[in-house]
Amino acid sequence: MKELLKVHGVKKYFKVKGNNLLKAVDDVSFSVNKAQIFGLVGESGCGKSTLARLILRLMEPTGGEIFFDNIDVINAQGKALSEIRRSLQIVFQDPLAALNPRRSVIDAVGEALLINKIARKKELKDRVVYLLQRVGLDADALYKYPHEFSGGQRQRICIARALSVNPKLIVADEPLSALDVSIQAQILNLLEELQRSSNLAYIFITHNLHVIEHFSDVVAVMYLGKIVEMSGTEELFQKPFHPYTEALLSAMPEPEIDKKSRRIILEGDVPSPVYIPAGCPFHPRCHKRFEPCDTIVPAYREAEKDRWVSCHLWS
Amino acid sequence: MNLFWQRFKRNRLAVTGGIMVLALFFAGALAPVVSPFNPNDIDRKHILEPPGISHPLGTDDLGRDVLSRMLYGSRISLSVGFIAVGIATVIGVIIGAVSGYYGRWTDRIIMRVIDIMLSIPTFFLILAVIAFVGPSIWNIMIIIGLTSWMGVARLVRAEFLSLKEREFVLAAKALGASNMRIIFKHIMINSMAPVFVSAVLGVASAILVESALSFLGLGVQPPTPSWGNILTLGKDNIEIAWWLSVFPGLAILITVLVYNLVGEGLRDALDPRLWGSKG
Repeated sequence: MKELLKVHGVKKYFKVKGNNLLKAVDDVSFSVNKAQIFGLVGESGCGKSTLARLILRLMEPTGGEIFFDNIDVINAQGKALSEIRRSLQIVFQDPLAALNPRRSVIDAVGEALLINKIARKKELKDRVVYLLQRVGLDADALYKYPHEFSGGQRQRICIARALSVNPKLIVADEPLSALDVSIQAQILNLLEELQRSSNLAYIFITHNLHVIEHFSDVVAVMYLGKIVEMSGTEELFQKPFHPYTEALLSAMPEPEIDKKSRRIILEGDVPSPVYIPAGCPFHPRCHKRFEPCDTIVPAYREAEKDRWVSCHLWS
Repeated sequence: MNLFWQRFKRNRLAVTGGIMVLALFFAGALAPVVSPFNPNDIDRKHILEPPGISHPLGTDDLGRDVLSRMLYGSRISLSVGFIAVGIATVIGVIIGAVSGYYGRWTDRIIMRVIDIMLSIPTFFLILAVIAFVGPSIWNIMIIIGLTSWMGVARLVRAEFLSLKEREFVLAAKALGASNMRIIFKHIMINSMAPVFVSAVLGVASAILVESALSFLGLGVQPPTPSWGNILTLGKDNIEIAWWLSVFPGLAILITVLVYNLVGEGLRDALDPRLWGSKG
């Protein structure tokens, strides 16, 4: 399988009050193959969205490297940058915030076609109608404004806009979280269908573990700016290696009433990313901690084939 | 837009103000048609006549009809108001947009320049500059414009600072939109509401500055009529001809008041924080 995106040692630190550093993303490495669905899970504030913005170069990282199709994303300029803009797209969580309230659908979806000279003014309307049909909307939508649609329809418009440049990878930053449950399934089916028909790769950011289990090929679990575990979806859900992943999975609601599940309750809250605990960042909440955990940072290593974890239990 | 109208209509004062603004506008535009006399016609037989049937607002010390002079004077006031505010708004929007969008040191330098500009008493600056370049209606418009853009710039900067982090702007950036495109097509159109309000309020203060300058003899020069220089005549004859002070004074008061009422009505109608409430 061909490697599409390679993220290596990426960091993003923000300076906050009192000259402290907020380590939003800290030394993250992974890669996404062509047409692969890469799931990214983690609690709120663990750096998922920052990572998404870094990959799309909507933010400059503090350190590390990102390569897309052998283009250096972080230093891309001119032609290389516009190549990245065309190949990498994003779908945001709240579709209302992601659409300009004063621009109609044809402007929103057609904008990138004009900027990147994919369509001329004359053919614009036909191209936009085609894109709308691909996401299940009618041509009536063309001259309407975002506030005239429902949440699900707005998210479809956002997806059409992302598709307009024929991307190879779409970063979906919690695309379902702002939608009703019944609509979530529709949008998920749409994303799946588009993936099959256009050979798209996704980075799918969510905290809905059921969606990840059903949808993605590979899962990475983030905690306080770091990936603590990454592996194939099936393996991860069958046997999580990291205690944090274990706790997350145990919190999944079970559809079967009689099935007994042992719920692991984590102690305390997520620490502030400004004051990350010494040693393993997870140790204050970990139910399996032992001596080295509070002093030595565990290495991120391949514990089994294609199963990466950073935990002293596996080193 | 519909919602905006509904909210604006509910504010009776603002609607009244809006009608008055339109009336003043038409009075000025139609001055040559509706004026009973030529504003510069001297009539030595009817000097300082009190308001009556032939001269509804009386005559001045040269026998000129005050109503006609005030109608022509409203043209001066309104054009100074609009053009000065136009200049200030264009400058303010551009500077505010650059400051808010590019941030960092650009923003810091521009904000310090604005602080310096705000620390200078504007009216005295205008007086000094007028004394230097000479009073004329164009000089007044330009100088008022050049000294009143700071408020707009701050407003636009604040809008840009918050809008540039919004997801639709990020999405446009991810689609390859240029900075210019993002500034004009995405951020600018979403930040125009407060600018519009401040422009309407700005018209009132520009009219006030122009009247003050004309009153001091540094504005529009006689014989061209302006509310300010009619007031000057009123001051000279205050003991014998009250109408020369009262009517232009009232005109200035009412104009400034109605522009403020409209401006405040627009502000309330455009404020999205108030949209949810029925009030």
